[in-house]
Amino acid sequence: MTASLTVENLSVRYRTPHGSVHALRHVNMEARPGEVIGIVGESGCGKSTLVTALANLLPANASVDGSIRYGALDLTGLDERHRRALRGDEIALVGQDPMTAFNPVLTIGDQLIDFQHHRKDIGRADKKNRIADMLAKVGISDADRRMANYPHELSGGMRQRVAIAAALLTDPGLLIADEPTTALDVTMEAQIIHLLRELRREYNGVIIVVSHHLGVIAELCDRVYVMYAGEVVESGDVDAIFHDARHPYTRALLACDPARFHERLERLPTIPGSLPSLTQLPVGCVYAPRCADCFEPCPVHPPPVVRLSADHAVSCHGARA
Amino acid sequence: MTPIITTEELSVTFARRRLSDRLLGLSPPPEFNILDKVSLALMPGETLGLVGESGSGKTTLARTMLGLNRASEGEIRFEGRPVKTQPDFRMVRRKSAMMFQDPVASLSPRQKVGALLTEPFVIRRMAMHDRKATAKSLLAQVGLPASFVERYPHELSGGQARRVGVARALALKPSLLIADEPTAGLDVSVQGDILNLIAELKEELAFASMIVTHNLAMVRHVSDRLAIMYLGRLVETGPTQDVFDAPLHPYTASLIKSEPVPDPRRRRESLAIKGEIPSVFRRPQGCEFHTRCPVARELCRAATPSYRALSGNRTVRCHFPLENRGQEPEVLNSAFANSRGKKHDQVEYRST
Repeated sequence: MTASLTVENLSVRYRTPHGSVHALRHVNMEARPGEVIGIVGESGCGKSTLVTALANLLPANASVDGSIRYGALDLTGLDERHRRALRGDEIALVGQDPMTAFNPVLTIGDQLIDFQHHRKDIGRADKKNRIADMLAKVGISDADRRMANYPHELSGGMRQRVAIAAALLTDPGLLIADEPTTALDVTMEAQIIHLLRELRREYNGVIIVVSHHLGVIAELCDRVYVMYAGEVVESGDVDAIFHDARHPYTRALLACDPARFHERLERLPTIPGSLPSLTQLPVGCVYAPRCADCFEPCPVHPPPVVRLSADHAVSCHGARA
Repeated sequence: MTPIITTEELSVTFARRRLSDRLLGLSPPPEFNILDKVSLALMPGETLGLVGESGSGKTTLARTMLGLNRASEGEIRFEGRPVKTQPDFRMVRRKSAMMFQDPVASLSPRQKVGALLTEPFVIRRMAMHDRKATAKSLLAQVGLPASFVERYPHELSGGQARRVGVARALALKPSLLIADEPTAGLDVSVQGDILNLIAELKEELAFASMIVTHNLAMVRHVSDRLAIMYLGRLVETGPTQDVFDAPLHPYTASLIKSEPVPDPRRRRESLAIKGEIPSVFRRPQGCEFHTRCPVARELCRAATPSYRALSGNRTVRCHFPLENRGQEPEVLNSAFANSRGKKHDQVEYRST
């Protein structure tokens, strides 16, 4: 199945002994089949909560408002049995650390067969053939030998390839890659980026790439959502985000990336201040306390969402359409 | 000027004993070079970036320099004096400091920040007139509020834990700081903070530093000189800007090209390098990089290249360095130190 993903006004709160943590607030997002969506932000921005909500894996102390529509389904209203049926069939997740994605005491082959448990229509031999095909697609040529290996016998890059193969074996309509290259070396990172780009040519579903690494987002994505303290502050075409960013946070984040400067800098740029507490949020704009362009309405009123073009939206008092 | 620390042909080998070998007590177990004849010098006040993929031996080199691993061959000199015995290394560690990779894990979870900061004085049995005051002044030095003395490590954010790590490393005013991945796992905005802090304190306390990392984008802004490692061997050294502008070793060039560019208009279509770093247990014959090298030739498979010192304070370990493609290596001299400043020098450093 290929379907669009529409997130509307999604808010997630975690109930904790120290009060309610408002981890995600009024998030709107849209992804069409065949698109690669990037979610970028620093730690604490809510990108993990968003991904967990999309994969239906939120813990019991989370309360959800708003809707996540995938095709005709509303993912937030599903019961546990339907959620389970969706995960690993329609929705697949590639995690940051491929070591923890696999069971250390089963061979790769056995686990890849298990990942296809929802395919009642084909037998074990066919499943093995599918695995060999899929491993070849992710650049692993000696599939038979690899299937007999245990996860610890593979290198990090190889494990990440297998994790991607595992995700694709389920024919997901929604593939979520959460920091897929963070645990890898640059040379392997480049290869995984290359692989994901090759794979998307024949993949018709939605791919969501979550990363704090701007380079990875720029290399891979069509559209980007920039998150800060639980909110989407800016969204748009990847070119607009990297070349025509309007939100002060997006600009500051881009300016911080040392990869943008080829001459040696005496001081590296930073964003002064720190993230607001998610239990006691500022009344106005969440970024106002750190914003260099802050003016009168910012600390008092939440910013409006300004549409700059069909795809480019920014929530900032200072933005002009 | 005497370098702060030098390593001369430093090697670390270890024997891999399988269970069957141990039980049967058969032939001596095979030995593997984790570090193979690494020669480096760090001048006072200099910042050296030690760069390589995981498995290249960069952390092993850093640890061996401070005596945390035993070298099997070669020599370490600290401020000109050879370092051999354990008491020698204690002296080295007294004057140097290491920041380990994981900042939270390197702080004991059961001690408060105040105690953690003053621990170096206790270990070195150094007088401290007032523990709390010392801790507070160290915190102030790294821009943290004095109230942090009462905190436990788990109450710190990643960036704050790094700052405590910096404060502790610099407590005894070392002449050498070795920082192993000082910004791994930090957000870009905080990464800049920590590196700026180290740079400021460097101005103030005048220590030499070695930054061990695989983050090229970062190291280009904080280091004066680069040393690139591959499979336990140095493949290239030189002034940072020169190495980035015109890398000599194909491996350095591929590393630089592999770094993702934060600009969707400049997406890379082709891969600079394929495959993975081989295991030291199966070190390729000849040049260890030939299995992945885009310009490898017959000679590379057959013979191990030796270090060559080139003009501009650069060394490279490649039969066909990128700028001098096709030129036959000339054997001129055996000490590359002499070649500094001379032009067009190609010096055979050591044939292996």
